[in-house]
Amino acid sequence: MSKVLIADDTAFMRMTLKNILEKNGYEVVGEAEDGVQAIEKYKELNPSLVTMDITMPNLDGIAAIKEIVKNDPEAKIVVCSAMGQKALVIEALNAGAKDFIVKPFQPDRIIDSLKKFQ
Amino acid sequence: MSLAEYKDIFVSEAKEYLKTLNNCVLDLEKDPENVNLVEEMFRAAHSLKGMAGTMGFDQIASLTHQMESVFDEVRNQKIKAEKRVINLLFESLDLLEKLLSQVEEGEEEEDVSDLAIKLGRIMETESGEEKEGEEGTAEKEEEREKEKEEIKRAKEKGEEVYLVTVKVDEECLLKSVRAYMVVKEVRALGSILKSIPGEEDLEAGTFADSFQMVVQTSFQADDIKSKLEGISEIEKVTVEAYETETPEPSKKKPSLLEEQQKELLKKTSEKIIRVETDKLDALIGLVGELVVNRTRVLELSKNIKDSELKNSLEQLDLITTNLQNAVMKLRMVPIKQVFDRFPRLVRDFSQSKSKKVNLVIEGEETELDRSIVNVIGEPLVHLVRNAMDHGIERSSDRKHLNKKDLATIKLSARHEGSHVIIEVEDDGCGIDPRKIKTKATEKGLKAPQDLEKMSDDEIIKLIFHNGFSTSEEVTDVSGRGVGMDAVKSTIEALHGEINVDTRVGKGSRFIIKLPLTLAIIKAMLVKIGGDTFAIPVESIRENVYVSSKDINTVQHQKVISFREEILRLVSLRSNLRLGEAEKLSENGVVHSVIVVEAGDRKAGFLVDELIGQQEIVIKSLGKILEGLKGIAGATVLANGEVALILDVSSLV
Amino acid sequence: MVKEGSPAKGEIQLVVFNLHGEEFGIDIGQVKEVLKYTQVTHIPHTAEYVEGVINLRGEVVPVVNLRNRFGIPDQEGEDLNQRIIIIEVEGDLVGLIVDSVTEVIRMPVRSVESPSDTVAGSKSEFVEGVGKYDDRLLIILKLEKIITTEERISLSDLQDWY
Repeated sequence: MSKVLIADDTAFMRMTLKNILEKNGYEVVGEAEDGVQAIEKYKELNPSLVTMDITMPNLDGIAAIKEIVKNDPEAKIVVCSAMGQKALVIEALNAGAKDFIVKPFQPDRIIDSLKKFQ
Repeated sequence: MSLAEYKDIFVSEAKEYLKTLNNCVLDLEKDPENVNLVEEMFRAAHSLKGMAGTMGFDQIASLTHQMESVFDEVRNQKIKAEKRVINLLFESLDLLEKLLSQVEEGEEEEDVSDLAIKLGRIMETESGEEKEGEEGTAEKEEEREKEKEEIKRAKEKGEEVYLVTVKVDEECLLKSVRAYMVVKEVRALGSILKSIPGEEDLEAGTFADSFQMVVQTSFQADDIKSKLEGISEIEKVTVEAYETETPEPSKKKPSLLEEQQKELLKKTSEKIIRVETDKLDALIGLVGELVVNRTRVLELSKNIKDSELKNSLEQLDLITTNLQNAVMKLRMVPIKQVFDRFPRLVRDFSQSKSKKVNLVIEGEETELDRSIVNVIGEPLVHLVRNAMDHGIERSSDRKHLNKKDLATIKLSARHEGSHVIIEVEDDGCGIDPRKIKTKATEKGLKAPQDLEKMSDDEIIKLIFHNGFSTSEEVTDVSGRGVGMDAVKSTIEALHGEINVDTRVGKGSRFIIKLPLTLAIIKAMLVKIGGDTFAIPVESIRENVYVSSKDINTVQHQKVISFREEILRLVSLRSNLRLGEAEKLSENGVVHSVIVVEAGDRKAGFLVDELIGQQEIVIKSLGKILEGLKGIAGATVLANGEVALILDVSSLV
Repeated sequence: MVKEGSPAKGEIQLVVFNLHGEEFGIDIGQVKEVLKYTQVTHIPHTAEYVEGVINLRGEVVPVVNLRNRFGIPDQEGEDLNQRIIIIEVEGDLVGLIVDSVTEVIRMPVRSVESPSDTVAGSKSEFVEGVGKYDDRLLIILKLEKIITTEERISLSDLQDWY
């Protein structure tokens, strides 16, 4: 089973994602509320997948992606973005994210995206 | 979850497009040959269709689709923008507005098929043949030669040239980024010789669902296909050997429209970023705090004699003021948003009544706080309708009066200091004080002997008096029963004022004065029963001190006489239950009284202590404390204490 | 959050607080922060249990006194253990005055019994469930409901049904 780390600063989004993932057979091994936590938890938990929100306090998702990819070029990170964040999504992809999903989350799209990594 | 979260954005943007469409149709009526207008309408309808489709609002999508087709026919000069077309378009816009409000209210959209059929019929009556444009064949030939050359060279290197067609899932929300991912992946495999549409369009997402690339690579077709299909939301990828003769994907009438669309997209994406109003408000709130604290720091530094400190503080003061001004501008929107609805209003009116009215709009670029813009529309509609209904005479009467047949209503806006002045002016019959007198007597608003003493100006002001508006006016204003008194109270709720300047036989001018912003106000801080309260300075007329001998009792009510007026004294202590009421009869005690005015009512507020004037940032008390009597909001003072802002109008 | 359909193997984390000797829990996801009791500005014409508003780093936040909300008399004298728990309700911050905040605990979701599983009392709509933690019973409140309605609730109503 794929182990997923969810990084998002809002508890609500984490909960929603977690629900979607767990219903589809993914195991959510950790949750991070900001970029700093995301980096720490990635090292600690070594998840097979990360969902990364872009706008987060302390350290944003893009910086976190860069840091994670620096240590693990194979890291599989999917960025979560809002509809208007085109430029940021591209930046995140260039930083090493493998895919993106757009909020509001549609379960089948998320699962489609994550399946590509198995 | 669904796209419901985006509904607000959708509705507000859709409204903008609707306004554009309305204005364009109005202009088109006057200038039926104007191709640019049709282009603009086509774009607006097209965008609206796309948005509505994404959101799943099928009726809006279907109606805008039909409109788009009509615009296309007009653009191609297959049908003319004649009256029946214009009227049908207006009808469609009205229906769209209705649909939007249904969507906004969360109701089901009503069925539009009736109107859609009508739009369809208009096109059937005059539909012609498709004509295909031939463009410079010589240029194309040259291009093909170049390509052939490139393919030859590629093959010499052992590489292949493929035509890659990618279809993106039509429900994909960020198509341009998907395209970007595809392009990135392809670049990792080889090089892109050209793409259809061009890379700029791919970047902007201005392609239907699919796009093509001519790719030079050493990889196999299947490799490319599987790599690209590995990207999310890519529905289908075909990779075939590229021949220069391969026909380009059907590009229907590219030229002008596409160019303009590209231009538009480029412009907006470079110059505008969308920010949620909540984020803006947070920023404005913080700057407000800074302003308040700056004042406090300046106050504290007065006693310190250190010139370096003084200099730096002056600098800080200046920067803060500039910052405040800059941030306030973020909230400002042009009043055009409000004024835009009036041409249509006046047009419809002129059509329905035998009055010819020319609307003149001035200063529509004048900016004011967006929260004011949201509320000021309704009162203005009332004033303009009033001008058309009661101000402007019938055409036949105007001839008798030696006035021009075509009446004028002028709607204007301008800045004056820290205020915005909005005027509604007509060249109609003006307001006759004698008629107002009669009506005021009929309604029992004033005794005839009082009316005799009043000046004409004072009498005219009675039109703003509660209960003056007649029932006939109520029906005129969309049945909502908004009278002039409601206009006045709306404007006062915005901390503004309204006046009227009128001359019998010449016309009337309503002058509205509004503050530029509502987020920061000047307030008088006072102590009542140990707590600090803020009273907005706009409502304060004067501060006076009264001793017990000045206080009289009339009908169980404590009053004072103030500038030849009898003024009711309001004990905020007992009104707001802040402890024991003031002992007004005790001899030798002097009381602080703040004379306030709200609407046409005045009163004297008893306060324990005046602290002084300050700029304060208005904060809401949140949903659970909404609608409290006597309290308009709260503010945080420089010392961290929370002070409540008194709602003067509910206390006088 | 204790929510239908959440995974059975899941755990919840609760902030435990004390009110008149009774223990309550709030899902940690709902809690923004916990403050020491601070000066509250009184607001006229509000329900008795609305203590007033406080300044939370420049934001004005209404504060509800849970003792008053449940008809429990005020504590005598000053209590240094008193806390204000800041929670988010429908997008707005609200403070809750409680006697003390004791700890944060984890417990499996399945040890939370929801009111429908037992004989429901008249005010069970204010209760999300009761958590069994060792020998302790924690009442998990439906805070949105308690804050947004003006219906009278007494402590015994909350205890009655289990």
